[in-house]
Amino acid sequence: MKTLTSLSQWKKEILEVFRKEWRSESRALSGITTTAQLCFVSLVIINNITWFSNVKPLLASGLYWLILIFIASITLPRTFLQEEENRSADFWRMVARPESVFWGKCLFNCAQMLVATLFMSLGMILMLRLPVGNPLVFAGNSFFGSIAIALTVTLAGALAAPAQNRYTVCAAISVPLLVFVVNLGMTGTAFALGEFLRGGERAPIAMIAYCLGAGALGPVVYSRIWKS
Amino acid sequence: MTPTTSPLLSSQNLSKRFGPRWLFRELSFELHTGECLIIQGRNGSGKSTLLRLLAGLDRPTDGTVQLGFDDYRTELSLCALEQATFPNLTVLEHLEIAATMRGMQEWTPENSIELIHKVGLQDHTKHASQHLSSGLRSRLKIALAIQPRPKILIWDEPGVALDESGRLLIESVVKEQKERGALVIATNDASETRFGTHLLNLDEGSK
Repeated sequence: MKTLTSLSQWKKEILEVFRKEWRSESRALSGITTTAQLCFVSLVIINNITWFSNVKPLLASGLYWLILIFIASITLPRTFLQEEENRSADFWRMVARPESVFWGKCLFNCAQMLVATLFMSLGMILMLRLPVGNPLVFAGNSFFGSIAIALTVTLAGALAAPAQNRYTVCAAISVPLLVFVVNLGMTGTAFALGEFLRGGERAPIAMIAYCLGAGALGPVVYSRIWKS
Repeated sequence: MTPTTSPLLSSQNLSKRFGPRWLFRELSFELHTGECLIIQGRNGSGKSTLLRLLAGLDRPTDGTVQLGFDDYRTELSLCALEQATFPNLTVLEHLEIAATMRGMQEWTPENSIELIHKVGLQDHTKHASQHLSSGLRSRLKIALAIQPRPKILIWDEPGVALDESGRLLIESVVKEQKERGALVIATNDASETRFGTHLLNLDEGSK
């Protein structure tokens, strides 16, 4: 059989990995359940402790990004780590190209993270009665921030997967990067909620730059450790 | 070995060490079309590790493995005991995913059904792999391995978990594979060593 290497073939392969992740997730429901559980519990607790007081924008944005980072760290790396653990990762190594696998899984993680962010944003705004002064910065910052988190955690999961103590390695790789992303996200969100922070309005642009960098680097680094 | 054609698979001075212990040292061989290399050795002698090195899934401590073709996705297949399938995906879905990822543009659902019949999984097409017995999962792995009609088929303990009809399946797969390429089989089973044209015993003098 002849093999294709065109752009449409790349697209087909990436979507096939995405479809595989979606099928597995929709049947096992492990990631979705964990995400929903974390979102719901966090919102209820935050709502209870802030019931009688107005939350300052900086604190609200800090809590918002803290919850997102926890959701990402717990649910997203599993796409790589679990497959390595149950030895089905070799399936990909024998039939696929590393870039397709990386992008397919990344796409799935981004989608999962965007849904969680949408749910969290609505929940926080409604429950904490937050006044969003700059909706464009808020939406842009949250959107690209979610993608940045998803990219970071996916890459960390991919790099850590072949290691023996893969969960520790994954945390060691992702935490420093996530601290940077979360700080950036907090600045942008606090700005959008009315707190003046220097550079807050430019946070979404910095997020886009981060996403482009991580997105370009991710598949290259992953393909280096693909078969090791 | 046949010297007139370039080898499909060759290894030069292949060595693997785990910590201070050498599993094997300086293994060199070539495989041409129609040939079957049988790898024997006691438990822990490094049979499966050697297969992983040949499949490119692991790196040797020393030496090289060279393939006589470019695209490992379609020309080289590994059917290994330790290799797992995706628990929530069905037999049919596994074949569809593998065909897409391998870039087999002419592959159709009818081809998948035909292959499923060939390996005896026709009653389990829509069963998730986690609900298959180990024998049926072995058949799925065989289907995945022979799907692209590879030039090299690397097979770890073919007969494990398979029943009598499974053994007939092994025989027909080996016969077909020898016609289009070569095989490497790790086994200590006498009913499988008879397929071999060459024998490599890892217990002998490689430590």
